[in-house]
Amino acid sequence: MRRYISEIIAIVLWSVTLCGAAGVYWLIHAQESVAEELNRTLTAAEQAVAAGDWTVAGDYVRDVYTRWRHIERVWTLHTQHELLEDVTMTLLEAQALIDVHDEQAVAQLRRARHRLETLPQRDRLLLQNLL
Amino acid sequence: MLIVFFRVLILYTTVLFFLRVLGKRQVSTLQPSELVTIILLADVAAIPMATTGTPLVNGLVGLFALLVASYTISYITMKSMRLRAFISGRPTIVIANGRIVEDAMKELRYTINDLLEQLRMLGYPDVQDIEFGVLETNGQLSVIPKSQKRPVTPADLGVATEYEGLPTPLIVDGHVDEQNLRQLGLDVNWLLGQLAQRGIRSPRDVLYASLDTKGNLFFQAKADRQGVSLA
Repeated sequence: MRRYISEIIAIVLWSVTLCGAAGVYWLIHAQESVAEELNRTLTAAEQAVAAGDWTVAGDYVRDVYTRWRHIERVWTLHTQHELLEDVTMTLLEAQALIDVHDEQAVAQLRRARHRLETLPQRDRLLLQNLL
Repeated sequence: MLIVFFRVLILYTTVLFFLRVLGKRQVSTLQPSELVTIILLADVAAIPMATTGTPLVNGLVGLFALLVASYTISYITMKSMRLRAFISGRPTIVIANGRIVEDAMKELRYTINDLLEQLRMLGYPDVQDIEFGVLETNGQLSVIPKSQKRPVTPADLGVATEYEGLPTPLIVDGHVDEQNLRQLGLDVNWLLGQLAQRGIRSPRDVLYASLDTKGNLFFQAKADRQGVSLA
């Protein structure tokens, strides 16, 4: 047993690494699904703003905001807090602009969509992320 | 998180490569791979510590990546001679038969002044007294003096010496090492008896006690008690 301890530790370390890598892939996939779902609602809000339906647009954004606050608590464990805060602020700004019927809300909604979309991509094992 | 893991691996390899290029002079007492681990360890740990907006798990993944890299490198160097030479380098002879090997010095970018300084620190002020001087992979200079210049040993004088072995600690800071006692075929009662004979009531009063290979018990009592060596 003592003779093979180095091999055992090496195998354990690399096994944990592979399990971790698999876990991260699963996490990124889950994040992408959540972001996609929220983005669908934000697109609907954007369409409602374009149609001048401010009440519906406001409901959509409030719904996204409520869901986002729950998601954010979990994502805080592995994502830069600053990036999460950016999404929260953008959603709040969009909501405030919709409340006063300001069409600039569309820009904020698009910004929120973009931020949600790019959040999981930052963790993807891509060359541009590595470098 | 995977990005952090691979970034640390990339940095580890890069710093290791740079250190190898810089050469042995920069290493000093550590193998290049060990030095890289030391350099990066504090930095990686400091990131989530200093920036509270960074999740702690990022720092932990970074540290884990360092552990994996460091362990893998040490495992590889243990198994493969070729990779060991590539990662840690090879010892280089800088003095041979009392003469400085100029080519080796140039290759290592090791100055004569540095060499002389190291030799003086090792107690050899004259290069001619050295049979071989080897710059080890950890940056330290090993010296093999000429036979006429090295200290006289009992073997040189033809004097027979007795086996000394290693004294076995029996009490350290008041605690009896029962495992060592068992290995010597003794027990606590024997030790207590020996201490009682010397006026010590409890092992707790003893700072250090050991038994040499000839069976001599040495002990030093704590505080104001006097150190005694008994045959």
